Amino acid sequence: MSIKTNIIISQSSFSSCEFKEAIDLGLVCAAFDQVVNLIFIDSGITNLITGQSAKKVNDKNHVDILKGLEFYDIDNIIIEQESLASTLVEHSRLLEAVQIKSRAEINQLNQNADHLVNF
Amino acid sequence: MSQELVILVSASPVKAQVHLTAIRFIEQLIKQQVAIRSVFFYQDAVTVANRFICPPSDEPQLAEKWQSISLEKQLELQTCVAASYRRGIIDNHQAEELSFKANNLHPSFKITGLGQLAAAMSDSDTKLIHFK
Repeated sequence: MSIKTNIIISQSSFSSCEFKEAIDLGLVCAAFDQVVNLIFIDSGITNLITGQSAKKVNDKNHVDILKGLEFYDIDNIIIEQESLASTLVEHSRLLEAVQIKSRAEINQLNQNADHLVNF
Repeated sequence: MSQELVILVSASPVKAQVHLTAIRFIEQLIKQQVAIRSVFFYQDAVTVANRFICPPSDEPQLAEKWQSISLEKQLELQTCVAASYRRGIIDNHQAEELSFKANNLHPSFKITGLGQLAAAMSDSDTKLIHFK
């Protein structure tokens, strides 16, 4: 059975290289046939907002990076429902392919994971 | 087969207590004969491998502490190549590649790919412990 690795991203977009280093780890784990769940909580949700002008701050578009992950067998991009509610970001502004799960569901997902890495 | 642990450290050495806790944890694991598969440094933790870091003498000398546990317990201290180069931790190979006069990698650490960590995590008998 495949190893399940959950990567939790809680840092906002463009504040640091946490997002890039989290994605790098996810890609390498997926290359080793692990099932990778990318879970966005707290300010990490801002990485999923579409229409950000990343180039203006000399960065890469995080949504475009996330859109490409399915080609590397990372299919599960998950947002915590409670974080979404508290950040007041409208669902319609987020990357379409995300799954919204409650804190309880994410806790269950983490319980079932082999590895958990926080960024 | 018995379980092995993979130790991941991602905190900057400025957060010395995180590194000290990891070292104490490893010492206890070894006392209890728990096998350690690897020790991997990622994100800001890689800067502990900069041999030019000079902490005040009355503060923990983290590189020396890691060196001593590595020698004593035969543990390889692996740092992520991308995270290291991004933060200016350069081994001999990269120094030559970029025509730098010297490298700054502490001799007790080895720069490796993130694949080393993922490979260790891929083994069903390993458990990851993350010090952040």
